[in-house]
Amino acid sequence: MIRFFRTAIVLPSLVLFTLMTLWLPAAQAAMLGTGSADKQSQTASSTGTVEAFLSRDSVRQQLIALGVDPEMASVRAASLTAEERMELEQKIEQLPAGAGALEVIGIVFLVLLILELVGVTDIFKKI
Amino acid sequence: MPGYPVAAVIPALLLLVSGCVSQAPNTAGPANASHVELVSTPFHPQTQYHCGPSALATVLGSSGLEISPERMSREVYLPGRKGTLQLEIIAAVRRHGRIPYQLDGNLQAILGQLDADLPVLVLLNQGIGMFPAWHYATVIGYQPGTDSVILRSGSDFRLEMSRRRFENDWKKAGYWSLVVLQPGQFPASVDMGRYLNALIAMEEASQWKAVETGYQAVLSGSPEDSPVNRLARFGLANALRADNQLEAAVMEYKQLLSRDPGHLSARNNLADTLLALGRCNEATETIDRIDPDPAIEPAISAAIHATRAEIYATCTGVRP
Repeated sequence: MIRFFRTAIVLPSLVLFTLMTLWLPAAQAAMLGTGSADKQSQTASSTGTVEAFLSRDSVRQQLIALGVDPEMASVRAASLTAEERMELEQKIEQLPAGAGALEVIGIVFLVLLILELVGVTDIFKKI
Repeated sequence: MPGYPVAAVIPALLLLVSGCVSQAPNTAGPANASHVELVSTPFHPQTQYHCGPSALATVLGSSGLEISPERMSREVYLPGRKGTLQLEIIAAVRRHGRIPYQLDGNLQAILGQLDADLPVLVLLNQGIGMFPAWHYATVIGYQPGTDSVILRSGSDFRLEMSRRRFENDWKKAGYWSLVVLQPGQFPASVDMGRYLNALIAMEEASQWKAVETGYQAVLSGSPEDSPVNRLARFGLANALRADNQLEAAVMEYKQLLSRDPGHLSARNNLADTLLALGRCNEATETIDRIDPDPAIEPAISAAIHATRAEIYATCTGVRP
């Protein structure tokens, strides 16, 4: 069983992941600048009021749909610039969402488990 | 032996192991970098998926604002994405009256901030290729002996990460980094244009006091009459106007116009502010000094038109 496991799964997997590390380019996150560039056009703010209102509302709805409390969603949508709102409106599902570090303990456990399964070690007597 | 979730474990292992061996940027360590560690940087261990709020509470705390990660979660965490977006981090910094300033994508830029006592919020990508694993952490130091970067990260109060691994993960996240500045504070080696843009964006969050202080700092930190200086003066005048400090705003507009008489936006805003002060004659005189010029940008032209109409309507008896 172990020999089958080693030849059928582990070896092809090792080859595959070695190739993957060679091929895959590093992912690039979308970048943005802060704020708007042109002060001149900001003075005529009243002309853009309706559009600004609509885009704020659209972002607000999207935030609510993704689980944000409605009152907080208004505050969050309001503190973005026009460019940022546009970016969020279009890519809220794709932009990088920072979540957390890969746990070291998880890695160690997985390595031990694999070694155990492959038969190199015999730490977990019951397995 | 059969029945164990081998199929589920193998890809996970590959993902993790690959993360360790994928090619790091082949650059030399920072030359002459000395040991630095901002040991007093606060620490907020993250709960699951909440590294964004934790890291944000860390850098805001370092700028003198004590805010719990729980409260930050309400402000930036996006349950449907199980994470936090960069844009919302930036916006949250603004809401708290702090200036979010993004750095250039090299380690030297980060080390410069550390030397100026500013911890640096970074986005890392610890996954590979199609399986990104985004993570926010705070860089608080660098150790030349081991060539490693010191972080407040996740549940680690002090995480040492080799520079190569850090640069690799940071690169995969587009070299995104941020310092949080108090109003009027500059980052190390400031790009004034970028700093101004950060201030302009803060107007969106109506942080007028912070914005005023920021523009004042740019005014005293840039040569009189330089484009940056003029833009800062215009920004300061607008912030004062929005903050209802009308007399002070009038003074700033006038000073700007004395150096740059052709600044139509400033003239329009000055007329508007004078009207708000009930100074009809001056408002009319100011707006009438603008010649109708077909070459004016439509948005500005429309604003001037609206201001003029409002002045005439309000100040009946002054002009038809």
